[in-house]
Amino acid sequence: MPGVQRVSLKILTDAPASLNLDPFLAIFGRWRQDQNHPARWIDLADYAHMPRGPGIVLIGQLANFGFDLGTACPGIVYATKGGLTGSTVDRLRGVFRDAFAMAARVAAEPEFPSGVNLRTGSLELAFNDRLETPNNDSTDGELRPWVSGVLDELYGAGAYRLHPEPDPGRRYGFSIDAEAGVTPLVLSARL
Amino acid sequence: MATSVVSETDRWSHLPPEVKQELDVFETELRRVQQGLMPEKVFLEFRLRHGVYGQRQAGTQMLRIKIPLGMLTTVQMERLAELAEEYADAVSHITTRQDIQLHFVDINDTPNLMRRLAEVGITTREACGNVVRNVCACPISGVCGDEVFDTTPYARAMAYFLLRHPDAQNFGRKFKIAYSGCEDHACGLAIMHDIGAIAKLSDGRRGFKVYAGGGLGALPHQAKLYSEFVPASEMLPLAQAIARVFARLGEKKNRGRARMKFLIAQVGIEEFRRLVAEEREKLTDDPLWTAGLAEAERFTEQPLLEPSELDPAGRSPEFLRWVGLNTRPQKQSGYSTVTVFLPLGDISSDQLRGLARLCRRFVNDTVRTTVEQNLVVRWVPRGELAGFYDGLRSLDLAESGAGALSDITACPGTDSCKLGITSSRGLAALLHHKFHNGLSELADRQDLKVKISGCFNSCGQHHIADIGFFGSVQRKGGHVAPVFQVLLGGATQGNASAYGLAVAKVPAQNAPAVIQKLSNIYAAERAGSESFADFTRRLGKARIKEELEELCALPAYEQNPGFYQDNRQPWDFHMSTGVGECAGEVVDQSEFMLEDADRLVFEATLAYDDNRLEDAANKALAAMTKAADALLFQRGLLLSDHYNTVAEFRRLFFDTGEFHAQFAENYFRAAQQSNGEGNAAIGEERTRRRIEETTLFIEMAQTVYSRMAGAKV
Repeated sequence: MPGVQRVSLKILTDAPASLNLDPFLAIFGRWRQDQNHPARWIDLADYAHMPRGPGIVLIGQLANFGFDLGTACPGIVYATKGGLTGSTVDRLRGVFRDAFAMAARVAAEPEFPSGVNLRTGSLELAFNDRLETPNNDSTDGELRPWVSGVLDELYGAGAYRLHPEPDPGRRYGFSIDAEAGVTPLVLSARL
Repeated sequence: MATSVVSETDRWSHLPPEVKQELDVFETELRRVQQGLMPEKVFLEFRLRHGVYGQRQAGTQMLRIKIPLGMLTTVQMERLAELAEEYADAVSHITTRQDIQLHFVDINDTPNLMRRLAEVGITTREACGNVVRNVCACPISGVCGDEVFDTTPYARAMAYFLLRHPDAQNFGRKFKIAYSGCEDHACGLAIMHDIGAIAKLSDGRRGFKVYAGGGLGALPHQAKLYSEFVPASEMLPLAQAIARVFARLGEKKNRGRARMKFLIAQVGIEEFRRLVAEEREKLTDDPLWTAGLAEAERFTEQPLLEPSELDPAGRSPEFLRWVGLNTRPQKQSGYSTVTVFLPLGDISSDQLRGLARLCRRFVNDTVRTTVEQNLVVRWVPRGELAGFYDGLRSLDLAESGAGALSDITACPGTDSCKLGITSSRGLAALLHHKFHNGLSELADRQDLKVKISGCFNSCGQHHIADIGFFGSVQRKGGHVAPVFQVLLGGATQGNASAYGLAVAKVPAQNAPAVIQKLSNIYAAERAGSESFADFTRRLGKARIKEELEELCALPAYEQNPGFYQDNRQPWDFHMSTGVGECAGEVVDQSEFMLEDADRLVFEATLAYDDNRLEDAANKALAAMTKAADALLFQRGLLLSDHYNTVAEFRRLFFDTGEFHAQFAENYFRAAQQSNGEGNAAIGEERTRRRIEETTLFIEMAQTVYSRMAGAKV
């Protein structure tokens, strides 16, 4: 059984929906040259012309990373597609840890739009596989404890709120509200 | 996970058995090629015929999803949104032939992706490869005031009749069909297709004016008039006869000359007509010719809401502009079509899901993709347009400009295509931005169309645009710059009635300025209602070249390195093209059959190991029959002729001594056994022996096939 492989984590930002995404062309244009990255980068996809699209996405064999303009508000999305190993909680830890580490890295790039701040306490988590993890009670019963466990480690027990996705047609997942002001690197180091 | 208790076998048991089997076979063949059990070349054409197309980025695939006539239901839209989200990059891309493409797909995901499409009645079968591609049709068929009649049922019948048809599996190249409801408009683009059908009445009877042998590509051909009138009931057999002629006589080796347009150019339309008529005479009646038609003619589209009229009083200028550009009154009073303008043909999963929800409120299942890479929503009551507009605004889908200059068509180019030379999408995105910033006074012009291809192959249909661009390169001082050839004089109107010619070559960075310059000259010097194509003809190439002269200059890299970057790609350009998969691989139909025989005997072995003896014996016999059919195909026998395989094999291969007698006798005995006592109780030992005999039979068939194929060369 392959278990959880496709997990998407979006770290929201305070960027306006009209943010010029051109800086990410330059950043990801450089990043994609890194042939040793575990995500195994393939290329970047430019969807900046779509007002509510995935923005600029660095596509990898095992994960995508991008600055996204869809849902809620603009933010950084890290979405795994494969290669996760270990227990479910290990996999989730890995997704959160890598997402925060990469968010810290992109925010430190010289071209990263000035004035855009990561809201590290505002997350959108989605299990991107309706065959393996349909949005129903059974999945919730199985996965929510693991999600909570990881969030306990990240923010402390009771220091966050989970808002499950109510629409069964959408992916199983949560909006997460937690303590703001913690840097992504600190959060990454907690896992 | 929660559903992991569902076994893979049970999970898809609700699919129609033939669909389930087809997709199981696809997965089996995928695993076989990954294990080195199937030749790469055969698998390449096999996967293309299932819509799986290799991108320029190694190890990743584009999945082309066939949407016949562009017709989508809301359930299908939601499913497409889900699949794009889970298996691609959350974007569904509408193509210039009304398909939908997902990019950056892992090939290992494709079997389940196809199964989930099949759950909502969608197939990727024959979306790519050397087969009949998606059948296109005018997206406002049935609601257009100018049409002769609704071509929808006839085009649908054609699409499903030819899908998987045995006579359409042995072409040298792809084959495209389009239907149009009228002669004049641009919606169907019939004249640039292998078969173009334009609705026509003759003595009150429905039929079609039929064109044949059109196509764009590097060497575009306008279709020749095949017949002034073909009765609707004769369209399917006509297409079958044309398919047989193309399969038999079309070029197979020279990929650059393998489309049907070259065959017609070679033999002439008169001879082509004769060949087709001769083939038509040979066809045995197929109940599907009329059954499909009768079923298709029952198709009706019902509006969800009552008709009503729009009261423009007090409406915002933005809304009224959108109504002017993006809506069109239907022939049914009180309703309009709405064109949802999708920049570059892209729609996100959130938007597609939201649009499906919106359609459920206003129209239900009446959405169609367009060749201009947009979506048309039909049957919106005019009195509800404001509500529909508000819904689109909430999804960021209410951009005005459908069909206007800002509505640019572009192929994928270097974003994903192996053949791409320049970034057609980069230029299209840049122009889209400029039409909102700096060139906004041009954005709404409806007398100019721009189409862009990343190379000369014309997937962006640059030949039929008023202003067409196709990508190329120019070297200067050791550096290579992306450039675009500018074509003028094409026309989408009249079903793609004119093809443009190149007039200049400009650096990619200057392409927007070309549009601005030509548009300004046209506005200043146009004579009355003169079309752009007529205008440029009157102006002459010399004058146009002179006007564009300053934009053609490529500065040295040291002077302006920006000219050596492609649009929206802030790094130095380098040309990198591979072997495209548009042409697929020419794999003889017999090779496919022999591969199928191999797969069947492999499955027989699995069934035997699983102690399913009857299944194993049946599969082994089916494998031998498949191998026999492969050889019979080389003798000119077509599956659609419904011949008796055993009898014909005996006559042509056993009696003539061309096939090892003992192996052939094993086949005859197995067939006799199956027809007599059946395979239910032949026992383990005989089942095992049959599998062994089958293996030998297929090996011998491979040998005979090699000899025959070699002899033909």
